[in-house]
Amino acid sequence: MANQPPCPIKRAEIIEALRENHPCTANELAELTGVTIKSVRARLASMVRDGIIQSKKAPHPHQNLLYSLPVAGIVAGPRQYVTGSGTYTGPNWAHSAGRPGAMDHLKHPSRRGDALVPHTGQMVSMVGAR
Amino acid sequence: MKPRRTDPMAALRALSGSTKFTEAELTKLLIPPRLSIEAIRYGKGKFDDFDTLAVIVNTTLVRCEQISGDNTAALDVCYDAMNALMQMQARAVRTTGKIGFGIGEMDAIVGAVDLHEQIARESTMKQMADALKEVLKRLARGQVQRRVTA
Repeated sequence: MANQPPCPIKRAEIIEALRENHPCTANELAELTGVTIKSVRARLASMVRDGIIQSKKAPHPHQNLLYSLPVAGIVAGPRQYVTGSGTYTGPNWAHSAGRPGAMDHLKHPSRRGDALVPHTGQMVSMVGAR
Repeated sequence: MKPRRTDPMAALRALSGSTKFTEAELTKLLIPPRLSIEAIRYGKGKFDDFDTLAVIVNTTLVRCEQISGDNTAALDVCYDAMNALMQMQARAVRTTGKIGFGIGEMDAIVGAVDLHEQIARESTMKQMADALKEVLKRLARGQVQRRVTA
């Protein structure tokens, strides 16, 4: 069998793009990464097959599939999420949260009185620094 | 042949990464926020005291995010403390010029400091250091709460 050329886009690049803009379509991912749509589609298909990303139908008919990361992938860094190997570093503690439902506290909003407040991870800024 | 570069401290670093704080280290870590609360409580609070409490609450929030399981209650404790800090900040910057507790704000912040103490006791040094690094990273990229009106 002839050797096929390597796919010009890496899984980590797609995950990095999805972490900041999810969910998005294959066309949008191709624009974000600057790679051809054909390569992006090929990579997306293998990632969906391996369960690394999720695909779902768009809310409107005649629209492309929407791709997104599961919550564990949003929390963990792209490299650790894709390979699951290499040197074990501090941020990889989030990798242990791969079981379903483990990070639900980030997924569901917090109830404040009558309102539901989504988790944003925003910090309190310092005063003394000013 | 070029000699291989080895890291003579690798083993020690790995150990320190998985070691919890000693009692002495915990005391050093946990006393400043208590002192800041006392100072603010007696009307002697400075902006540095506010910053100490802000770092503690921010670090606690990041650790709560990282710990898997149902942490909604723990996150709520952090949110309460953050709201209290934002109110204090708004009052200090816009009106009074002094850091002081309003109604219920001390309770909210003491709750978060207690939570921080529990988390620090059960976490490794590296986990706490990584949480602090994450806080600094978020502050540097401007991921901060919008100021409230006093």
